[in-house]
Amino acid sequence: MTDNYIITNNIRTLRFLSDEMTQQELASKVGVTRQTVMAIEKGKYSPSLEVAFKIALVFDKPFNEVFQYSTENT
Amino acid sequence: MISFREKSLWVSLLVSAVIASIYGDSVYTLMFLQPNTSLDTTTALIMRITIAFIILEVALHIALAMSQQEDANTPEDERERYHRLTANNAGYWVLSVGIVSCVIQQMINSNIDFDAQNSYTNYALAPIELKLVLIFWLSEVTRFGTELYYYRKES
Repeated sequence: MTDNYIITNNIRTLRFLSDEMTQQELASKVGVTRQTVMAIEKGKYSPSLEVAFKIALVFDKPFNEVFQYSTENT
Repeated sequence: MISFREKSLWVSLLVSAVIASIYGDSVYTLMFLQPNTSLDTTTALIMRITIAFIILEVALHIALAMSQQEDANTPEDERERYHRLTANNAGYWVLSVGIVSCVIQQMINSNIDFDAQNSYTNYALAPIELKLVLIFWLSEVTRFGTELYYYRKES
């Protein structure tokens, strides 16, 4: 049995709690495209540290409340 | 909805693929129907193909940018840059391998006296500029295709 680490995030929930912020609004605040926000939300793209910190700053949350590095047992 | 950059890549891929196939077909015709092609003929073919590519790319990109003005002005972000660099790498490999193969074939050609005229010798003795242009189109198609593959993979 091996431990696979995956990056997960709560961006979708945090957007909902921030007056249902749209992906485009978040993208404009962070300085990326809407497609990039969508890919990050789905976990298909791991952002750079800079973009990840910017996302946490937009929601005014600690980094680990937005992104988690957790194991997935296989 | 797909981004302007992705649409632009689809346009470039389709234009490159169409131009590459027309070019490939023209080279095939030249090699088999007129094996002793003059430099003027090959230069004219390369010029025609290059001009057609530039006109199609510019015209279609202007039309695309006009339909999505706001999206067209958005600067490239880190994900798009990463995909572009990865795709450039794939295209570079095709270009490098193609050019090295062409040079090796030229070296073989200069050391072997082909006395038979057949499909192989027609291709082997084709002017190097025709082969290099074909390799360039293939590398471009690879580059656009790879970049689109990564875009599609994440959507």
